[in-house]
Amino acid sequence: MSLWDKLLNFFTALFRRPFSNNILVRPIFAAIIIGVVCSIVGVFMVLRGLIFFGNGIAHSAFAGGALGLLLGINILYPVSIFALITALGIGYIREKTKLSNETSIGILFALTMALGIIFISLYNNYNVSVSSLLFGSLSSVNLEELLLTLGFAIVIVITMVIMGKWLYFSTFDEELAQANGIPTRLISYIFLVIVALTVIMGIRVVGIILIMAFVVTPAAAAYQYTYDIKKMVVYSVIISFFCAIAAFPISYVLEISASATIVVLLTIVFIFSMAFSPKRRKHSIPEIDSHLCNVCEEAIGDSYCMYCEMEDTEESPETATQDHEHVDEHHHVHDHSQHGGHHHE
Amino acid sequence: MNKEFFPNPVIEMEKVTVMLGHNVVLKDIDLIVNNGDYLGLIGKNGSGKTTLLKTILGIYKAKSGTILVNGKPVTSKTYKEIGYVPQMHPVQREFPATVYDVVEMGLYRYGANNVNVGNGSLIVGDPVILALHKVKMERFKNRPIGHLSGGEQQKVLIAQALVRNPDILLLDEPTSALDFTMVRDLLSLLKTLNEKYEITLIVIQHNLEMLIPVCNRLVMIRGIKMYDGPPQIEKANEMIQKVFT
Repeated sequence: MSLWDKLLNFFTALFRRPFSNNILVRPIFAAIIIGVVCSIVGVFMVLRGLIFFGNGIAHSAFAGGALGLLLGINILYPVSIFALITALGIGYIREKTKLSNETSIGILFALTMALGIIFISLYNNYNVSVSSLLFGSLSSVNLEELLLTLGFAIVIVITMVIMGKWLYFSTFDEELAQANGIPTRLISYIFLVIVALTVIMGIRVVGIILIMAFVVTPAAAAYQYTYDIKKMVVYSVIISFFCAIAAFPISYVLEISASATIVVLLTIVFIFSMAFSPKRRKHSIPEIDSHLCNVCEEAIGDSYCMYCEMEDTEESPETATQDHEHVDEHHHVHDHSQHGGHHHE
Repeated sequence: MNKEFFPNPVIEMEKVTVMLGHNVVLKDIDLIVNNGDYLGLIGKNGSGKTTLLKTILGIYKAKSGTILVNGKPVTSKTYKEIGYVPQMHPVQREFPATVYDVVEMGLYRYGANNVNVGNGSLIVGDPVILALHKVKMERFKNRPIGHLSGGEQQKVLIAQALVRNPDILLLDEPTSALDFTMVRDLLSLLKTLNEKYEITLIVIQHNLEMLIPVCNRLVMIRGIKMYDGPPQIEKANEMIQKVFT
């Protein structure tokens, strides 16, 4: 069978009865859900420098999974307990001992891996269950797992939406955020729990080896395109979404792992983004009479202002002046107000 | 302290003692700051200057003593009425935040305080742009914060502290790591904020030669208050000899 025929088979199978227990639809939905959630959480993990932390959580989840196999129980429970204890433990050790994140993660990372190896040794039956812990089992995800993944995703996304601005502020500068009334300690712990939940959500489906690629790579790719946090989140989600969708026909045709294909596609997008990032465009050295952006007055060698993200700023100098005068009006009012005193809400 | 000298107190500290862990960092501090003061706060490293500012903000709790800000006891919400500019940390060059975003962060917890113009109406306008205008940085609003120089970043942080229209501004070493011209520029800006916008300033600064000509009051601490008076270089030098040796 040619590659083209295989591709045709894939789409025929997919669209024949898409909502009637179709074994292709569930993995695609699971990959999209996990990809989107990981890419949102990943933006803040990248900005807060918590990638090693995520790896530590994933490996502690491995120990939990191994214990679950040993005891013959649903691995979700021990995985959740190990991941949450590790996440909160790392935060607590850092806060109480003032050790760096890396140090406390290093201590717990080694401990949980050692426990995982001990549990696997006692299990004495290294089989497909252990392998699926490491590499996931995206293609065989069942309806219960899909619904559980969706439940985790809803909780994570709602929490991120609620605390997104405060998290962004404390990511920029924790001390400044605290001085502005943001409960930074609480935000920090909630985010550690969010990371743990993200790992718990993804580990059953994509495994501990690949889960961090779902988190880091789309965020790192999106980071190449913008200085706007909202756009960064949106780009990260879009990259994840399309990589998750594109991976399935490829993995079906080439008969390879779907989750590994997603990771490869994400990495290709990242390399492309790095190479063609607008942030790395070379700017000619401004000359005395070089063209100035009318909005921000940055000297721009060509007709593109990277700060205003405009190809050719249309605002005339007169408009810009009017804007300044407009501000001056407020300014005048403000001056006057000083004599009237301030009125606080 | 003789309260007659302070007809319009905005900050009143009486016998304030602050402990961090098991260490007494500030002991029996009496300090009254008058409305419109430009107070220079000096002392050697570890003398409790930053702790004093954070205690006024309500971030650190006083073990004993009373602190009033605008006549009300300090609570966890006192920072609504005070702008604070901490010591500057290096900003990642590629951090996804523009100047506008950083100033707007000051409104995330609470919105801007309204400014009464005397006839019952209030200023209508973008508080972020107004704050940027006060520090003459509105034309940089679309720039990534990491692309600005140290002095420009410091002005943006001041704009952020001003975005809620506070009466009081606390600045922790705003001129550290800045070159001479930037320091001069920043001090001139602070003077403008103090005189034109009538904002009470408490500024921690090490460079006495640049601080003394601009402030109207100098306070020196080393766990306890060592000096509180007019910014005279001779007296300051005399106290420095005591404090630093």
